[in-house]
Amino acid sequence: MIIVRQKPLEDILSYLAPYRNVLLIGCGTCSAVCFAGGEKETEEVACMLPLVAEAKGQQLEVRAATCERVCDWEFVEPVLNGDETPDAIVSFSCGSGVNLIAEHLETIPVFPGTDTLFIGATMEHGVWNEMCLGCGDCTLDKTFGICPVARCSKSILNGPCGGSHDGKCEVDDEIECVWVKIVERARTMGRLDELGQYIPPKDWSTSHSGGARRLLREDLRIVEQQEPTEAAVGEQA
Amino acid sequence: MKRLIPPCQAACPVDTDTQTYVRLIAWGRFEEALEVIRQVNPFPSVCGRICQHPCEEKCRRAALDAPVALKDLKRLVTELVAGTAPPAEIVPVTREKVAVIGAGPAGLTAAQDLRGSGYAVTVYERLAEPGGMLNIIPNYRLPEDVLKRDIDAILARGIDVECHRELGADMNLAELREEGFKAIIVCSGLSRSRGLALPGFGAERFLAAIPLMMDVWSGKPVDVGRRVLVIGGGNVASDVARTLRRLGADDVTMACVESREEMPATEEELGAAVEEGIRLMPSWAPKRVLKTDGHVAGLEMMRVTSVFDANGRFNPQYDLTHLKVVTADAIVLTIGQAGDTSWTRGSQVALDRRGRVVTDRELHTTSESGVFLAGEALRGPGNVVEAMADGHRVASVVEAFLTTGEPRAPERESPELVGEFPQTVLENLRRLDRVPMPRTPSSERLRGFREHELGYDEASALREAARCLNCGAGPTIDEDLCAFCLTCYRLCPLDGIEIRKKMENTPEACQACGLCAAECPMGAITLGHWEKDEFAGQLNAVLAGRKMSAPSTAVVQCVHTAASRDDLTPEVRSGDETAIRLNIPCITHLKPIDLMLLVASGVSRIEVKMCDPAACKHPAGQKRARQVLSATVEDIRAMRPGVEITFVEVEPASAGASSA
Repeated sequence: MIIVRQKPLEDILSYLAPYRNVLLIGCGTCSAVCFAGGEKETEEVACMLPLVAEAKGQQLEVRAATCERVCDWEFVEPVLNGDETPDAIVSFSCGSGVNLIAEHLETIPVFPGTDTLFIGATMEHGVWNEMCLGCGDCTLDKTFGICPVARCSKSILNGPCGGSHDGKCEVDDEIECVWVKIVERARTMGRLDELGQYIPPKDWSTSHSGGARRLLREDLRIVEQQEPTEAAVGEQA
Repeated sequence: MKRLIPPCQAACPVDTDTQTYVRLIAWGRFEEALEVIRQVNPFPSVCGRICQHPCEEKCRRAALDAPVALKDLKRLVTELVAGTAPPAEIVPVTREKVAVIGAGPAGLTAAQDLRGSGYAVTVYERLAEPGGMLNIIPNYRLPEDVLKRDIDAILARGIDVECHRELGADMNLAELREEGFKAIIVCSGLSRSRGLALPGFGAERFLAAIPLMMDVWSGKPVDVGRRVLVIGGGNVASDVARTLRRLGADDVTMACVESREEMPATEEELGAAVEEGIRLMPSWAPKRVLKTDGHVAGLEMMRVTSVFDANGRFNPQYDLTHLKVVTADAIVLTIGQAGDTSWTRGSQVALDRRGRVVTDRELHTTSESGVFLAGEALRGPGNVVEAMADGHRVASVVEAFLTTGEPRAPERESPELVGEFPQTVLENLRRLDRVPMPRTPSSERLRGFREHELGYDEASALREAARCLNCGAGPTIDEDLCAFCLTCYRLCPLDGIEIRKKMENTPEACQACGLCAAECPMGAITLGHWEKDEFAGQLNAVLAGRKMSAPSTAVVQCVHTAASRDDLTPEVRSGDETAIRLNIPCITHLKPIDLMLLVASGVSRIEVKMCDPAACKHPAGQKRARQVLSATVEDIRAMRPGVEITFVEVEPASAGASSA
């Protein structure tokens, strides 16, 4: 899932200085599962934000609504159909939700209520680790299911490097050297010899380095059936 | 998931919502607790004294330490509230006349139900007072004024009672019909003691229990001498033995065919009897009455080798080489009671070859249309709560009969029960001693008929009610809202959540601590005893009820820190200042937003009172809640530096009170 973290209330408040009626949109999927922007957290922010604003001499009216996923417009639209059009929206989804709202609403400003951190997994309740970089060309087959692209500070494909000490990365003692994990796993599986094979450099054009990405699947697109025109009929004949 | 019925409730013949009244007691809401009891039980005060409490037998706490003292809790609310409760509204008479024969618990329950449905009900009672056999239960177990309190409340609903009127003697069925009664319910009970055809039977002071106890009740002098042998091992035998001890017999023995383990009297009764110096002689059967000058002189007895045969039928076997003589000035037979069927004479009510009324046990009908049988007269010996249950059933049948012309038995639902504790859960639950019932020492008891169980005080009741495990009141997870975040699954200290196609509660493990509901990021979890927005609702109600401006101080407290009802009111006064008070079942139910709502309502000082962790029912949950709430407190302090929030651990106040 996408791991997000709620922004400090002061930061959120700083976006809202010119506005009065604010709608907080929670996301019931990734944000909820990492306790940053589900129903519970958005309601808490809705309760506290006016108090913090008041202390700074600002009047805010805040309401919160949570939808299933902010990254699908069909879920977002109903929560916007309230009695009142908000002056501003804060989305507690990941960045993609914020973008999607901005794509759809021409005049209402939308702000992020979270920082989007990474694609990750829950290690234990309250602990998430980055697991995938979304490079667009998965090579986990070569590294025993453990990703050096996402989890090595240098993303090197033939590790470990000289910065590995006691299983930790030179960048930070809190970061484990993922190449040590890869080697240990290969050893456990009795396939250490496979690591002797050189992995050639990646083609990074499939990653974000190749520009903003888009996935388009013609097999899935819903193409509207159009009445055949006369010309088209003529062509067929 | 279907809400499960706790085993205590399922065991109650009248289906008392046990868990709800116990919770209301823990919250100091005694009036509402009594109301819950009264919905199904017209004899709450009587049951608070003498109910055989099948509910307690099924209490799941028994597997852990001891059942919750449901009977004793019921007694306390009736003591504190019954006298102050407003009289019930009298329903106008809009329907037919119904006669009830016998003003015992079955008859009066049926009468109350039918009166409540608009029927004109007259109850005919053979004795001088309504109450039936409850009248002859000795005062030390059931004081007269306690019985009268329940009966008065029943009759105040507009039921006529005519005492000294016996069916078959003072009137018959045909005459009742002529008076316009469209249905006649006979609840005449088992008013005759069974006899025993022994050699020597008929000696002076060879007595039957019921007439003897009737004499005691009506104040006639009873002379049994010093040494008394009571034959029988049930509660009536124990009542007789203990009564005679109080009337001066100083050597009283209870002998019965059953072994000590098989004796039908409750352990409480037998324990009290032994404390009062009564000797038990199990596994002995009477053989021959010994006489001197026509008086009882003793009883020859034979050893019983077994009571029941391979099919479980009563079929005692004796060792005739093993005999014993017990000297006695009097012998009292308490080996069961029989009904009187003389009222059927001259009617169409048929008797079978053994002289019993022919009935349909489901429909309560007899062979005469419109004449119904209920209570012990139909079912045989039972206890007060079973009699009430039968009263409810016959009322329902009669109402169907008078409405449609056809008797119809009420449908019985078979409830889905909460099962046994998993062993791992049992090992992790906190043991909490049952609050003992204060009693008069046995040496003082024998001086008279004063009640020797003295009843709980308020603090003891609050503490005892806190022992309820809330079986089956755990989370219901709304699958439309659930985000499958697994929080509930991971957090539950007792593995009370399972991952199936959706998240599901395991009621056997769950203690309804509320942690999952408090932490669910999607608000998908509701508890059986604590609504999702219950704190906010309570806060709004408290604020709306205040004349003053916003309060500056709030006390948020676990109800189990309270020692009295005064500690549970929505306002707390200390000197000149008043603060609002919000009650929660445990801090495991408190959500971060609840504290934020208090701050938003203008409160600048919050005191969170919780049980000492060594006494909390949910120790693991409490620790977790404290961790999460402490983080919230840090956040609030950072945002509103003036706000002061403190956590106070207190010894549950009622714990101190009860040990005093």
